[in-house]
Amino acid sequence: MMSQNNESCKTLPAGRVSKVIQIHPSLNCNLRCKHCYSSSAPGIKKELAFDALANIIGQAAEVGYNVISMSGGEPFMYQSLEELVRFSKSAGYFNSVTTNGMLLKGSRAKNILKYVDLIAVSIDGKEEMHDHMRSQPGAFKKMREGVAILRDSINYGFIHTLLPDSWKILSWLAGFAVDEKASLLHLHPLEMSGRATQHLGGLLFDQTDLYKIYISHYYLNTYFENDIFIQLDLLHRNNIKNNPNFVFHESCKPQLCASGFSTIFKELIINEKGDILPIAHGCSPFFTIGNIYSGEKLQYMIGRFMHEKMGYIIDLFQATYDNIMLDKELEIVNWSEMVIQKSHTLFPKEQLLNTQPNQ
Amino acid sequence: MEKTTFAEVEKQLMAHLSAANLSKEHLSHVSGSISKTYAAGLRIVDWWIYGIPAFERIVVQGQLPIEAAGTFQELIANKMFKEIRIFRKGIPVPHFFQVDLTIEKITEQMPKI
Repeated sequence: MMSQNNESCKTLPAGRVSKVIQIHPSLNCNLRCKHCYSSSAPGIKKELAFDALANIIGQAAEVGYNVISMSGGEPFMYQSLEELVRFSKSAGYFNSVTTNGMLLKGSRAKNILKYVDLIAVSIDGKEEMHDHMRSQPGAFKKMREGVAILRDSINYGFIHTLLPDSWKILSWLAGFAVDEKASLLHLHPLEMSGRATQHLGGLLFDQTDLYKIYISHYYLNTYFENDIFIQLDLLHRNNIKNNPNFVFHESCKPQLCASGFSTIFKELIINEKGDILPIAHGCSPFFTIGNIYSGEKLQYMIGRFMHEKMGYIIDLFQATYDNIMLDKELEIVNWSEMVIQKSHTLFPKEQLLNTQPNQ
Repeated sequence: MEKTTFAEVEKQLMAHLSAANLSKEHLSHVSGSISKTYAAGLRIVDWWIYGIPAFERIVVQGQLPIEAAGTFQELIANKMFKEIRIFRKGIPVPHFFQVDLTIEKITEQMPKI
């Protein structure tokens, strides 16, 4: 998927479009955050095998993918992280890691950081709010200790999970990020899945919140233009209307061939089970492209996916697009989350056993 | 127009967005104007917000390359912009336009034709 605010990639050398493989190698985490969409937690021992992952990302480089984005769980708790980032670096990837920033001390982290191009540190607000959301007193202080290590050694940024009233702290967040010499502030709306459903189930964005976040983002982006890049994963309906190719609109359907796969799906997800999915984490399993343990060649999985599922993907995107255009209340939207929700409605899990989706 | 100082950013934004008399329609209008401005290819370089406490009027200053001058038609046709001021800029040869756009809800004040 293209960047939601339609900006060019700021993380790769000029001229390279980022085509990202987002890897969730484990749901093991040192924290139990209230807003975690993957329900990551301490004590989850299961993790993806390095060999199987390396095999797939090696093949994915040949298909055009050029960025590895490690997520989780907490990636620094993944046993093979150093091996994996060293391998992906040697395969020509730009490596990014999203972390809570609490495990950056010590020689292991130091060795890992040698192979990482960008670190995104999650932040939930000022100290009290951060510790509350992380369910861990002292989390903010520890995160800042990690940031101190990054500040002078690596390109890094912050990532903030937007809540409905986040507009109240966005200017503080931007100022904090600039003071801490971060190069990026990524704003991603809360996704109502995983633990977030249990702890924050009542928190729903209304359009007024979204307008305020949208306006604040552009205002701050203008003000801090020379200091930091602020990315917002929300779109105005005008952005979508003006870019029909973004949603594979009827007038500009993509070429259905395997060679153009990474151009169509600029983000590929490998979840904690090893399933390879398009769009985003949490997408309906109906759209599973394959599994890293299957032994199949990635090219073969992609070919089969394009043949069997691409038509349904176009239907899914078109239905989401129509939904946004027809509902006048939906002006500011989280495109990815809308597609994911619709993927479960139109193509539920049980659909795997049947042939016809819920159209 | 003076460049906004850092100290004013948080205060201004909070004061305006927290205003009790800020309607959903007005926020929708401002958001729509911003998206149109970016869609037109303007690089926004500064904002000025007017009104107490809610923003009744916003002036955004943008830059548009000379070769993108065709965009003006789109901006002029857009009723969301009450006033558009255009200046040729660049030394020694003008190479971009400075565009000051005033966003103000005037749609309902306009006579129906």
